[in-house]
Amino acid sequence: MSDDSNNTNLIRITTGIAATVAAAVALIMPLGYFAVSYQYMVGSLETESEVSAYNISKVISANPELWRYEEVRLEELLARRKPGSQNEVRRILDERGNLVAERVGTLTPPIIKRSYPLKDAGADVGRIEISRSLNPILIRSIFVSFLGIALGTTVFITLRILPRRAINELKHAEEKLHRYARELTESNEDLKNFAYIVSHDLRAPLVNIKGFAGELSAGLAELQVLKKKCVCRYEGNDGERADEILGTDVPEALDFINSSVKRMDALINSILKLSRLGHRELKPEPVATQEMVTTILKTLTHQLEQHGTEVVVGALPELVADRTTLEQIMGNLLDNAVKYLGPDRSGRLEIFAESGADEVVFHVRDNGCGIAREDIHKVFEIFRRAGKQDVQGDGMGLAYVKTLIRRLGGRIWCESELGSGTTFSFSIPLGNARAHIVP
Amino acid sequence: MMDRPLPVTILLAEDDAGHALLIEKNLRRSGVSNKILRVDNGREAVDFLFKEGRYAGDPSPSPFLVLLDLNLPELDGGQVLRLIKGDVRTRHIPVVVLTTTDNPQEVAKCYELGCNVYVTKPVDYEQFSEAIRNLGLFLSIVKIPEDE
Repeated sequence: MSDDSNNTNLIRITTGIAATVAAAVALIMPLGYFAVSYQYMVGSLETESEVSAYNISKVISANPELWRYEEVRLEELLARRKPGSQNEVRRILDERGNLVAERVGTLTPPIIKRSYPLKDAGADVGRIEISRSLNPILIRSIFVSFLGIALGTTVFITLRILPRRAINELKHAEEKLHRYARELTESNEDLKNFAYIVSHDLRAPLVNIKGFAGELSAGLAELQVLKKKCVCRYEGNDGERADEILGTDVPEALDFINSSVKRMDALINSILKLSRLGHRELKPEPVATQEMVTTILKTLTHQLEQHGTEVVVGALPELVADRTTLEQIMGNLLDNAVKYLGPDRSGRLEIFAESGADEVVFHVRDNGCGIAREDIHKVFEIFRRAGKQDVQGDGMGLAYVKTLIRRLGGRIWCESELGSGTTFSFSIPLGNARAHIVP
Repeated sequence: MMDRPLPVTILLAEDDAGHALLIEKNLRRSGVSNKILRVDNGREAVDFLFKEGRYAGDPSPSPFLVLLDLNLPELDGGQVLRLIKGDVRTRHIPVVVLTTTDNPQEVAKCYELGCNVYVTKPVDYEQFSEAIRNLGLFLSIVKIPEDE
């Protein structure tokens, strides 16, 4: 499933991000600590050397010729430092670089060194040099880097778990949705099969009723022939009654049986047709609806002329949809519009379309007899017909249309005013593979 | 020819007794005088054809023709048709499918499985008789070579 590969992709990306962030945390923490500590150490070394140089310069200015021989005082000066100050090496060198005085400590490398010039009345007479070990900083940086790694790992785990959880939640929701969709499809399928089975199974007994009614008719006809040939066994009233039964009552009953069977058969066929509409496979193809409407109107020329009908066809789009289905929808609606035009005025028929962002809405407007407000919902139901039943119809046309439109993913509705006309509107969605406007 | 019983048998697989009677009456009316043997489920039809189950060792000849309803209990018409047409012993037997279904997909499926003729049982009695009569005519024509 592409969803799964999408999720795997997403997890791969978030894992990548998590790893980058975690690595950055683990690296930046010790490096940053080291950089800051190093800066601080350099700064403090510079300050210390400057302070020491200032102190020494007092000794120099007190005895500019012989200051370099006052080793004891100088060493004392070198030994003087802030409490808690680190282990360090301080050296006083003269202007030629010879060691004058020294305060020694043990330093483990790497070592950092800073010096400050010693001056006497503006002239360089030597320099003071302070060295410290970088080791403590490095050790602390390593410790910080452990912290960084721990923090980075936490970040990595969190960042990896969160999207997984989110995806699982999504998956869960999606599965639920899929289940609902499946259930809906199943119950839809059941309904279709139900209609099919009902209509199919109802026909079997009907074959018998009709067939044996025919057998009865045949038997009756044979009986009449026999009766004519032989001497009548019944006399008087009995004979007349027998004639009445065989000549009128039984044929009448058979007629009722036959006409009812015929009606029932027609109803069953209608249901069967409706259920088949739901089963038919759709083949989306580009359809020029303008052309289609024109062709359908041509087949209705005779009826249109009878009513002196003016037909206005607006600009209709080209769609990708199942051609037969669209044809049946349009055909039924146009046929209806023509069928129910008022006999007392010249007809007017308008077909136009509005293209929206995600659907096209077609309108078929007539100035026919119209439908009463309370009857509008009835027109889409099977076997129901609204208004005066003065035009032939089986009450199935709009039920078919509704089913067909639903199969294309659209919907149909109707606005009407009794006596002044009806507008049937239906939408065909563009947003899916079933139909879209051809540019 | 009408009063001389023919040695070949017609097997009518039909679960609806009324339909069976109507089919038989109309076959007789159109001049078919072969022995008609009726079974009311698909399993029995298959047992009869392959001489299995309660028909094991049955000496009666294989039927000349099978009239097969599609909606049969136990084994449906399609399954029976598949078994008949899938076995060398029975492949040659002509099968006429008789059903109320005129669903094009189902008709096509039956022909695909090797049914020889497909007759829809119409409710219209005239049409029904006509269909059965045509079938009777078809039977008379086809059986001549074997009769000689």
